[in-house]
Amino acid sequence: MQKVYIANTSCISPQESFRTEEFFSDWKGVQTDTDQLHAIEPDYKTTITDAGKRRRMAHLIKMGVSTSLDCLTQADGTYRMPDAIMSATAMGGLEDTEKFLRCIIDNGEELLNPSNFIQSTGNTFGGQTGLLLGHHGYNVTYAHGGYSMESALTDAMLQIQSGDINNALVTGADEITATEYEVMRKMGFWREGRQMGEGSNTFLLSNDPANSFCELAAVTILHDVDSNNITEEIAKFAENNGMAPEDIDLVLTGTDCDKIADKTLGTSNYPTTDYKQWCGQYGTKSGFGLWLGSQLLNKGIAPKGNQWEKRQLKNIVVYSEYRMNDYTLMLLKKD
Amino acid sequence: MDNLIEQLKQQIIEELNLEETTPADIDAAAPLFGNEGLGLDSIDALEITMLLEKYYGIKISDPKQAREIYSSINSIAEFIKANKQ
Amino acid sequence: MAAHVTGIGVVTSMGLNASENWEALLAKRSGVGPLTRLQTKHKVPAGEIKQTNEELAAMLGLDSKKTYSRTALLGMMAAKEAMNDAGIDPTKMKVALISGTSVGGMDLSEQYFTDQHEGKRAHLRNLFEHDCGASTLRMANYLGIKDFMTTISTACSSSANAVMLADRLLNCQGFDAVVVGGTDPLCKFTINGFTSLMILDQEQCRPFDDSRNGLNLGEGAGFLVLQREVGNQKPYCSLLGYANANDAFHQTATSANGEGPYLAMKGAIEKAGLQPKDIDYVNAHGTGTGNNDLSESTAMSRLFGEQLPPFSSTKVYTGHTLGACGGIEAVFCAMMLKNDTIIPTFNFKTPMHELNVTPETEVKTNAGIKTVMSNSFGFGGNVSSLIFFL
Repeated sequence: MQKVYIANTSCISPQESFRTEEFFSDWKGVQTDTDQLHAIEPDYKTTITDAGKRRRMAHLIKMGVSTSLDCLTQADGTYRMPDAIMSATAMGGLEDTEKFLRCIIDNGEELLNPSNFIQSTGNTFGGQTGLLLGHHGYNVTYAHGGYSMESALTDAMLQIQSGDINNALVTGADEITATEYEVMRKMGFWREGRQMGEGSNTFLLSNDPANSFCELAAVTILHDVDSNNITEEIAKFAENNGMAPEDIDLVLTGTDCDKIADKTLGTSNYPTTDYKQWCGQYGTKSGFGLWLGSQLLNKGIAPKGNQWEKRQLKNIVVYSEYRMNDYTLMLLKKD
Repeated sequence: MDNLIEQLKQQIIEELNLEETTPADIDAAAPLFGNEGLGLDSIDALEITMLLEKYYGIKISDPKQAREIYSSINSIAEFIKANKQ
Repeated sequence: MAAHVTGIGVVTSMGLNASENWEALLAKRSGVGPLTRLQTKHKVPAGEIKQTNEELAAMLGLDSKKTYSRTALLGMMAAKEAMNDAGIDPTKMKVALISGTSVGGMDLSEQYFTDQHEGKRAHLRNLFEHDCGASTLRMANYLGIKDFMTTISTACSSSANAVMLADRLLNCQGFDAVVVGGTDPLCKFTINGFTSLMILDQEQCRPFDDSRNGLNLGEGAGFLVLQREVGNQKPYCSLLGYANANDAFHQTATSANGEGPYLAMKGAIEKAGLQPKDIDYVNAHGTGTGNNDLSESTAMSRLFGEQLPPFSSTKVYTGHTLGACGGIEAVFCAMMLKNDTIIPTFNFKTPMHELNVTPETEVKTNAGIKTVMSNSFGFGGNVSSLIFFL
């Protein structure tokens, strides 16, 4: 079975993460005075240069297309053509969905704007990326709540592992909208320090280890796990991948509302760092965790301000949880 | 008529989000679609249909008829003048 | 080793199970007609399932106090039928669920916004079913599937793409069975959406006909059970090949030369290890829009040349069920293979003036079909073809 490596990444997040190393130089960026972490967006004229193509793109699509294209940009400015494009979004074009719904309901099914409808569908940024690249290959979008990113990665890994393709571009993106924020607020979700976030995370996965950031060794989605057993599940995950639990140098955690699992993990022997403090809560947030993990391994650094700051990281587990009693685990390795 | 043409240009720029275009850039006699002129596409045609309904109360339900009317800013203006209620 | 289709389940405006659907298909009895359940001002015909959500929930034996989207309800019904048909038990084997949908729980979101607009109490629980994955999760709970589940949303090719992932899971991850297909409801969102695109026909759709003037929407769900190992029961057919390609031409329109459809069909034939001449029947995407049918016919002509196999679009029976159509039409293909019968586009009259191709117009029994292809094309250029083999 072919191994899968992360050949390149690109990230738009609430941090200085796009085409800059700023985030890693100061590790600041944790905002505690707000419950909405909006993405720091690039000047889209520089990322999507064709004004005609850009003008109809909504916020989510601009983010998704920008990191996708950026991840494929080669030294001479041309794009590397991937074998396949997999995309992930929990909510799709939520802003356009809302606009179109309001159009229908508030205007009595009159004055319908077709652009809102077209952009509401989940596969828009994946399709647009293919369109801009002139890419005729495999192109699929996963929309499966908090496990959309893992689903897209699974598809890409299956195809690389089996030798069907050599590489794949995988992008996960979601956006903050006022309505979703408000609905979650009414549920009391943003109390207790939780923050809504957004962003787009892209990975170029490849079977070629040369110049790669690290290996993406496993992606697992666990359904119906008892929160009290989460550390055992991580140990089992390590063993299934040929490692001892103590070989895990760091667990990057993206927890959501499962307090029992949080407590269990917090009191375990695993060194943990919360990745969500930098990106906030959104459906494809685990993409940020994966981006952070791959950056740490590539740079050979650890998050600042931790007791294991000086530790040499080799194996990182990205652990995520999203509004359901299910969890995902992703394993990154660097020899 | 000139006022209507200027107004139309402004509305099309706004509704179609032609961010780098000013009314002066648009030749009222030039084709709106295809490779010449503004290079608009089929979705833009649908948005112009919506714009005409929204601002002028004119409803166009046949896409083929729409394509003829939308050949240029001038032709749209003439159509509005003839049909405005 | 090819995956076998060991179970099928389908719910459309023609009927709530496979045998009701097959009967209607043979009788050339379309489910497309005037809307009576869905409240909308647009007077367009559609393939509407007449049961309300409450009635569907009752038929499924669900707790009437709980909230289920129509997408989830239709999906449960078809997937349950497919699982019963295959006789699989997820407590005893490793089973995955992959569903394709384009709008998720949109019917409930519409309810929420309508209640809010009318100053009524809008229930937040109606919004929690909004995302596409929520419908799959509800289905998985109902079906007792815990090992793996995911949702694909590539507009109208969603469930065809789901079938491809199913085959890969069976190949690489040790699953005993995958329940795969798609589900989409009729809702105001899509009726208004396609109205805004001006591609809804005010009459019954006429795929591949020169007089065609747009599509009819429909609702439903279609699911297959795919397995590597089969028991004593003879499978319907096997999944022999598939491919997904991107037209990369326009956000909503398909290219004039049908590049994406051509690549998808060609890729599926190559994956199956076949030649174009081996295809005995094509279940076309055939929506009835000017653009789709010409582009698809052009692609078929490019691929098959003079030897165009018999083809038809079954959307004249069901309407275009969007994310569900790949699953529904895969079920139809399985039934056609099992019964060696081609289901026609029965209302076809006049070939397109640009390209003279004629779909099957009469039910053809003893058709001699062994290898069939099913096409599904979606917005965003996502196009897919599946090949089933008897």
